[in-house]
Amino acid sequence: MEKQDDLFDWKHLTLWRISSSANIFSLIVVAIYMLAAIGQGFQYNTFAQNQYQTNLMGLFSKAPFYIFDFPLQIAKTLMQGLIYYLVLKGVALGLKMIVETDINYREKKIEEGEE
Amino acid sequence: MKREFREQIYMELDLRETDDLVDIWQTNDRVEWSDIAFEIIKEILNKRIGEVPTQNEPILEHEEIIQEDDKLEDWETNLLDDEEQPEFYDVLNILKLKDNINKVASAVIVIYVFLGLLNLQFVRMLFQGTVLSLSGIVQTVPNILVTLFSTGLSIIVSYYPLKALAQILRILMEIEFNSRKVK
Repeated sequence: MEKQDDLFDWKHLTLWRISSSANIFSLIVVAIYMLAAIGQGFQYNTFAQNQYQTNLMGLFSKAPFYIFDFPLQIAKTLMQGLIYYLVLKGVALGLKMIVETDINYREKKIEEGEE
Repeated sequence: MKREFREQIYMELDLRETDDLVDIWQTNDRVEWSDIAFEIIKEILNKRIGEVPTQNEPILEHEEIIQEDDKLEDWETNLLDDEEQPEFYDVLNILKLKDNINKVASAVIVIYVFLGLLNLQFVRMLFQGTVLSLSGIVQTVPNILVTLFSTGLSIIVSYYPLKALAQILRILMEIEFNSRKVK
């Protein structure tokens, strides 16, 4: 590990920082999309009040189309959040793997030099 | 040689607290502890407390781990079993992420297909209680085409990048694994 600390230079540090930021942003993105999904629920409720003078449950009984449309729209929003989350997580872990790989090769280079 | 090995295990186990040994004895995990270790624990407990508590049914395999391993491909098992594990990331995290990406990629198709169906004019009219005739459905062909195109495009722009990401992670992990061998 000590050897690895020596090999860990500013380039790796930059990648490491980007990786950490991506990790943090992934959680923020999920939280934002969850709030967006809740907001969408409220939007449907407002729509039900304006168009049908009822609440969300009333909307489902008056217009059965929304029984399917509502959960699918919510699922779509959550899925978008999930996609961004996975992409950011993937970027974070991918960068860490690149750092690890580079350090492995640098170690090898140093060992060859010593020999 | 065998005697020396036994003595070494005895010395190591003898350093442990009695409660600790009783716990190991009762848990009876035959995967984690060898038969010789159990013989020695029995001997030590007999010496220390004069009796040996009853044991649970022997644990011969760790079911959860085996079930999890069954789902893994050979190269993934090799990565997990490798003695030299990476310092900067956890292999299991990558495998879980890859698995989740594949699941979400499948979910994308299902959700967009259902959304596409709901956007079709004749489906909407069905919900309103109107069944369109064949000529009526033919009139909605532009709507069907536009819906098909937009649904297909939505699936493509979400599904393929996700699948690509899963493959990139896999390749990066293999590259990293191979770089360990050159050390």
